[in-house]
Amino acid sequence: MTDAVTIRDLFYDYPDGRSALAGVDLRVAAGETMGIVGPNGAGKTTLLLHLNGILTGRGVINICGMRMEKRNLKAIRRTVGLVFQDPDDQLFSATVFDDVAFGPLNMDLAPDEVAYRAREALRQVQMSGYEQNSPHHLSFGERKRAAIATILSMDPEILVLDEPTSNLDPRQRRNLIGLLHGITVTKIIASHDLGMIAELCGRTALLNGGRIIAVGETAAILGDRELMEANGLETPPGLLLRCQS
Amino acid sequence: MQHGFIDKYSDRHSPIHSLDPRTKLICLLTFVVLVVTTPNRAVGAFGLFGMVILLTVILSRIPLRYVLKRLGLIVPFVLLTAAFLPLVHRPESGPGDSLIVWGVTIDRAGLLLVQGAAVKSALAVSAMIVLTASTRFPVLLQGMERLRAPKVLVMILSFMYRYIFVIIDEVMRMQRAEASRAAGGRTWRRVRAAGTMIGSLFIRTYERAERVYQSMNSRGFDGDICTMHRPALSTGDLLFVVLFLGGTITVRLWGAA
Ligand SMILES: Nc1ncnc2c1ncn2[C@@H]1O[C@H](COP(=O)(O)OP(=O)(O)OP(=O)(O)O)[C@@H](O)[C@H]1O
Ligand SMILES: [Mg+2]
Repeated sequence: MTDAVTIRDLFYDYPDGRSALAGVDLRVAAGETMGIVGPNGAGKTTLLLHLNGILTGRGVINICGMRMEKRNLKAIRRTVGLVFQDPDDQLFSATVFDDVAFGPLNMDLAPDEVAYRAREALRQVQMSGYEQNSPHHLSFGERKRAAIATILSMDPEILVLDEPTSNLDPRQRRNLIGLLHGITVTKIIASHDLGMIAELCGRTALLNGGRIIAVGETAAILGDRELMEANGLETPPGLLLRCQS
Repeated sequence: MQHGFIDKYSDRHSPIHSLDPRTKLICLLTFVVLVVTTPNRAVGAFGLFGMVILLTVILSRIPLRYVLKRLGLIVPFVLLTAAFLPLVHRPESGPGDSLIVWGVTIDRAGLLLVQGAAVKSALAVSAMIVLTASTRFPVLLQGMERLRAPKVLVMILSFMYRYIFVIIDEVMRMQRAEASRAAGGRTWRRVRAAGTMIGSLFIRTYERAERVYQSMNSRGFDGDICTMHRPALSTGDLLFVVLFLGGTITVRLWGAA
């Protein structure tokens, strides 16, 4: 299979000198769903921010055959849809609808198509009826879902999600898992929600201290109790049993 | 967390609420210009302008008490600035033109100016209150945009509306965190804590702005603000514009006569 994402030897230091990525190598095949797990501060968010050129470290990143470079940036940003960890960073418009329409509008689509996509994306995350609400009138979970809709409306080839299930109630979490299951594009999901990772991701990468410690079949990674514990993670007992069987 | 909103009551339904924002903006602007240019002595005209506002308040079903309360918040500032006008002695005024109160010479013409400023500002401000209370802020922004207000200005206002509450939340969270740990702390220590809080709020806000910009960029933002086309004005809007402008312009002309 061709690679959707190839990362080779990626290093990144934050401006204050803190090293967040220290040589990351990762390949994600087209159509695959890749999980990224790791303790707080492992560098998950930092890594995801590299996938559409928001941060640029040293190393090589290839997205669907396009090298991460200034002249490819526009095309790459159409290809990669990134959902931020904090919905308040993602939702900046005065209404939910405007926010969900923002991406499609920038893609120069016809107004009808923009409106259709925005409504459809909101329906997918079960936020129909909130079109004219202001984001600050929404609960955190609702904002989270609206933030996901802002990316779904762009119909990206690669969907990158940072902590998509945090702060969702059990039913909305379940809905979101179902929704992501139904979207067949390449997905990269960073999360502490190991149950969701186990359900959605074929392979999982374990990140710690800015390095990929292990990458492989999700069950093999999550089922390796010693590996998980050595990296400050813990697979819940029920899930552990399922992974090991 | 809970806040009062500038567009409180804007989710209600009334003939005024259902007007296009452009209609309301144009009427507001014209109204302010007409009121400001009416001569100060035309007391009757101001009374009629007041009636027009009262009528729109009634039509909009916004509680009159709310309008007055808001008005009470803003007008004192105007009065404070205007209060010094009568103390300025004009060389062209004769001895009969001034009165002396507590040994201070007060200019009669200046007094009329204060009166005018008070009445005019009250009228203009209450018109704005009716507008903001009957229009959802995002819709108002759309109206401004479609009236070709500078896009950057509209965008700044939109960010302000979106993030002011996020920032207030952040302040409230920090205050709460500080208060729950500063049981009986000394004043100077709390002052110092407040200083640190302001500093960290500045940094947080700055970094937030950076992340928001990144999020815009990652959705294909390239400096051009694209917006969607929205429906045209209705007959109700035309009717309102004709009645409102006709009425207020007549009052203005009559006041000057
Ligand atoms: N803006 C920043 N400036 C400086 N250092 C940062 C910045 N953002 C993150 N870091 C540091 O970089 C490292 C990686 O952070 P990152 O946010 O990528 O972790 P993460 O794996 O997403 O953690 P979490 O699970 O808490 O979301 C951390 O040590 C963090 O302290
Ligand atoms: Mg993170």
